[in-house]
Amino acid sequence: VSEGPGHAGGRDEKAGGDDPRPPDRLPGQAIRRRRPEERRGPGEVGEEPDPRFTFANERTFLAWNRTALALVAAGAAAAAFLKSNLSGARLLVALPLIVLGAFVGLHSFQRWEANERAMRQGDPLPYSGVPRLLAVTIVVVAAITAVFAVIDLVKD
Amino acid sequence: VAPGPTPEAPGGGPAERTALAWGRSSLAIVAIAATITKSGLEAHESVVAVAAGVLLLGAAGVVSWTGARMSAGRLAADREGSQQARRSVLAVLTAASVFSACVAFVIALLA
Repeated sequence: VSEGPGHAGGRDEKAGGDDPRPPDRLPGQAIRRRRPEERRGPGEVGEEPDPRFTFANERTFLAWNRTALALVAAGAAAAAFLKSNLSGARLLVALPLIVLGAFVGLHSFQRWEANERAMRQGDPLPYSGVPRLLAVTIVVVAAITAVFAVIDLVKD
Repeated sequence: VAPGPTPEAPGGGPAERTALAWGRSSLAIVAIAATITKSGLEAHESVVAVAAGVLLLGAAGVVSWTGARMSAGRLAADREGSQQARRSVLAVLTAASVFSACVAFVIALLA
């Protein structure tokens, strides 16, 4: 039986209203703390959504996970094969990619669960700030790599 | 009410697209297993790298087989079982990606 909006996922709408509890998610906060009733598996709440939406959610999870694997692969390749005259340059490029890959991998599963739960309960899909983090990190790592490449070129 | 068959969409049904996505993900695991093994060999951490590579290849096999089977709808007869199986396979894939990140981190520090 669906618990409906307002019980598990729809509390954001009540922030600032008569509810004495603090809001689930502050402005700018990507992920809110899960309440005990939300710690059940997504299959134990609400009703089965349209299979097309379930498949789409699964494909989104897979796409995020492939992104995580690509980040790890890029980091491992940079650690093994990047040649630079500057000490530490290799790790400065490789480690952020690997750490971000691990984070994105974990986030993909959490995101799938949150989306599945929201769809089953008829709630809005939760917001995630991870795409922004991913884009910023890739731009920063690319800039660092470019700087190292130019320095190496000048030194040679 | 038991859900009916997935409606066909132009350009291929969602189930087929999802099965293909599972296949791509398992191939991504194979690629990262090869990268880790190769980079580990360069770093003279061959035992760790090969063990991690074999483990990841096993995970790729599980992910590919179960994901495709799930998308083909063989588990759809038992809805609760299907939900549990889906969650388990997704957890296996997540664990594989986090594990490969940990191995890559260690190799990067040791290289």
